[in-house]
Amino acid sequence: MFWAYLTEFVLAVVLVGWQYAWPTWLRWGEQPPDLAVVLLVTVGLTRGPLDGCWSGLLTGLMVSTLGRIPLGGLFVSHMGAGTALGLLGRRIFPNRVLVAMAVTATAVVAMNVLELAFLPPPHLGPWVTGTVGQAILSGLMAAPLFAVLRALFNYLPHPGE
Amino acid sequence: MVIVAVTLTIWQRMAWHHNRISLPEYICQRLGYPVSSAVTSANQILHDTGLSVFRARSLAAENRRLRQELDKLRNDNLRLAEYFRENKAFRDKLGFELDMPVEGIPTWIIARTSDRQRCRVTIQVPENREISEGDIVREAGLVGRVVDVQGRVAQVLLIVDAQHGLGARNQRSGDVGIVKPVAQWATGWPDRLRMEKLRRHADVRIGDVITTSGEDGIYPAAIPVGVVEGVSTSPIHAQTVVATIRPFVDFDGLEYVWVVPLL
Repeated sequence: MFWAYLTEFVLAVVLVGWQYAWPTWLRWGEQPPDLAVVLLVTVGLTRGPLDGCWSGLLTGLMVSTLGRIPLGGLFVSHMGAGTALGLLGRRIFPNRVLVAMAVTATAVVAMNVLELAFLPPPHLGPWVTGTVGQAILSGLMAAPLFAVLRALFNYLPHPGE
Repeated sequence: MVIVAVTLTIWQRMAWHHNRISLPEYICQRLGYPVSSAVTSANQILHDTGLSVFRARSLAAENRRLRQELDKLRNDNLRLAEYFRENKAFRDKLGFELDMPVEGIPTWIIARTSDRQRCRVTIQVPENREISEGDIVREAGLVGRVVDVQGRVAQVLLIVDAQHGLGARNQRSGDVGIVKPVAQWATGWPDRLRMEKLRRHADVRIGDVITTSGEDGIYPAAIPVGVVEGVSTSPIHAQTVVATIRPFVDFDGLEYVWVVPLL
């Protein structure tokens, strides 16, 4: 379990660092893809709710630190999403890339809606554009990342072993 | 895990309350910034490679034009150096002290906030150069100020931050006021500035250049901020003028900035 948790920590650092350095000309509606959610979806679907919750804790902390955003709402949305995706992984086809893409896009929208309660945007119009753009970009990025990360997780002991 | 999350949240709130960052945040910054820096470098290389492949012909033409421009600027520079020497000689004879230009530190942006309000960017300083909190950040005009330094990495609060304000002066008329960001509905981001608290019947016209006034105790005077692109009367008081300002800095395309030490 230690190596799995350490791997998820390293992945959270790399993906959130990548997200914040995403080039401006590749953003959609001013937003980069939410790579933290891609990690949450992959971990949740392939490794279960406990690992999903742990990844939510790490990604929430990283996003808060690099984006200078208060932690409270991020923990609720990220840890909640990680746990929910872990529970969902037992009910859907967790090995299909298309499922991961759809779940990522949905999770981005759901988490942005949830975070509205903690950090309301100044204008609703740009928020909608940004959220839709981010969901599409995240869904697209989920395809290659999910395949790579799933292959990586295959080398780690599965939870419960 | 929930207990850990609550503890971290409380720790962060307490640290922010004292204008510091908590230890977990410090560790995450030390780990995350090198990743952002590496990704930015890789993006730059990819972008440059892509440009060189797809725009080879136009790049060659641009290169020729820039070389000609460089020759012209070198000549201008020589002439200015001559004027500077003459000016210094005159001032020496008259006993005036000369204001020496302050050298800035070139830095590049490695990360920017992407959530709701683009109010901060993260910059990386070259090796063997030091910056400190409060230093001024410039590009074509005023960008903001350094608010947090972690080794070679620092956070810059932009002048378009929703909570930012600065003392400003109309370069032509000398009228002073306070410049604050104003959000545009079309983008939702504060990409324009508004000059308020001007005196009654202040003389502000479209095209006027706005600079820092130096009266806020944060920024030194005479740093260019932007140009007036609209003048209206305040909705609260008809005799009070409010000016809309377009910043000289394109905050979307910002890649490199200068950090000027605050003397």
